[in-house]
Amino acid sequence: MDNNLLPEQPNQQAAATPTPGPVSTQPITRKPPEPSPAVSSNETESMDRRSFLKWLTVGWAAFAAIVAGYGSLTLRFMFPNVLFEPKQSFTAGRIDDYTVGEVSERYKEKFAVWIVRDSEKLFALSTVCTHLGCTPNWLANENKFKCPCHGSGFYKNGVNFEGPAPRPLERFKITLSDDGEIIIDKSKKFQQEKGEWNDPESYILA
Amino acid sequence: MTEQNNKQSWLQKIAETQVWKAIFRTGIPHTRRQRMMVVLNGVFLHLHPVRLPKHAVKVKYTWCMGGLSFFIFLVLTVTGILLMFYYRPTVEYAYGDIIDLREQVPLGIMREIHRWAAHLMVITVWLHMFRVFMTGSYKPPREFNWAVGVILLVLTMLLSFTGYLLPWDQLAIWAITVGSNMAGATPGVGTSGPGSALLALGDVNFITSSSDAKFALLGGRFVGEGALLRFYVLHCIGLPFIIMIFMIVHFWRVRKDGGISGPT
Repeated sequence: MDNNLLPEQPNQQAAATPTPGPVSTQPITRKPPEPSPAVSSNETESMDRRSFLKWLTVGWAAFAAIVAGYGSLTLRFMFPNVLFEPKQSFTAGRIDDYTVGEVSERYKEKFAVWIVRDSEKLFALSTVCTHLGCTPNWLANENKFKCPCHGSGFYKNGVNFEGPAPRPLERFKITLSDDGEIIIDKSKKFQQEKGEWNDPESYILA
Repeated sequence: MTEQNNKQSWLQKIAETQVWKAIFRTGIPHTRRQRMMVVLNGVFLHLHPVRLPKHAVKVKYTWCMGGLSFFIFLVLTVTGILLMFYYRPTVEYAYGDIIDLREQVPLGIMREIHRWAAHLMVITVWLHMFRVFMTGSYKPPREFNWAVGVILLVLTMLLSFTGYLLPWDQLAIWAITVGSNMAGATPGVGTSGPGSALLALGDVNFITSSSDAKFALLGGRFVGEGALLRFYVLHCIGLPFIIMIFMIVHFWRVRKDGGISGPT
């Protein structure tokens, strides 16, 4: 230890460290350091253990609350308020725009919906394959939907009959506005296996 | 003889300059102790153990697969950074930039090196895991490091998965569509998963197609520009950052649990 380098320090260490010399058999007893006048003893004793723990708890609770708050806001950060995607709900013309027996691909590209009209009603089929989410093709000659990814096949009404798809295509909510426009709402879906295709909102009588 | 002496003194002279001594604290190692200090004092060398048992360097035992996985990771880091100079993660440019990387940029093999190395890393990580399993190196006290290794395997797969989307061709888009649908089936936090209706207040369902796990991954309801950007950020910054933290722990524990290929 080079004490010469620290001339400003008061030479307290000399008293505390045992001076090198003949080995003493007596155990080394360390004297407690003299209380320096800068630290008031009253100040250190003003906080007892109970209130220290209380403030420690309050401090940690506040810290945890702030971390949790920022954490949840950071999680929310990943879910934007505005999406640059086609809307979930859209108007799809009038009933007369669709001929009986037609599978309309008019809204397939933009909204991922087929509009199918059979002899008694009109319904909106989802273009998302129920196997793994690819987009099947409508094969008019073979009168079926066929998925290019793994070969699932669906009848015109959306019911699966071949390939790995486990359930029929989903249908979306379809209603008529007061002035006769077809409104399709993709945020509400109807699944055949749950018996939801009988729901009056899942088709329009035509 | 004199020439050799001159040569030695010349090297000695360099070794005694302040610059040399400032960089290499130990000096030229002559004794076993000095050689040990060289390894201990350098940030890169200290990743290696100071001493190795003779059997530990047998390729027959380790197949070098852990080391090779790390080496390939370094190759992927370097080639990946180079690719980032040209690739723009937008729907408009991504596919064209990938083609340009092959057709217009000198050393058009760079992207292929990155791709081959990615395939290779998955293979070496699997083989490393297979070796560790076959030699029983997952047993105590190495069981924690096995768990860290499983996390590293998952992170390797996630890096592969996120990199898969970036070429933005039909294969990429549909592969990620299929893959990300699994996130939509997460129990509790995926719309098509079990228990998604549990998080609800009356009629208001909190897990919808715009607030579930799949959405968080894709930044949208389907694989679009949001997904491309998120996968790019995860692939280039997020996952490499996380995998490096786990690799540090992994390598540290290999040493602390008794080194490679031997009893503890």
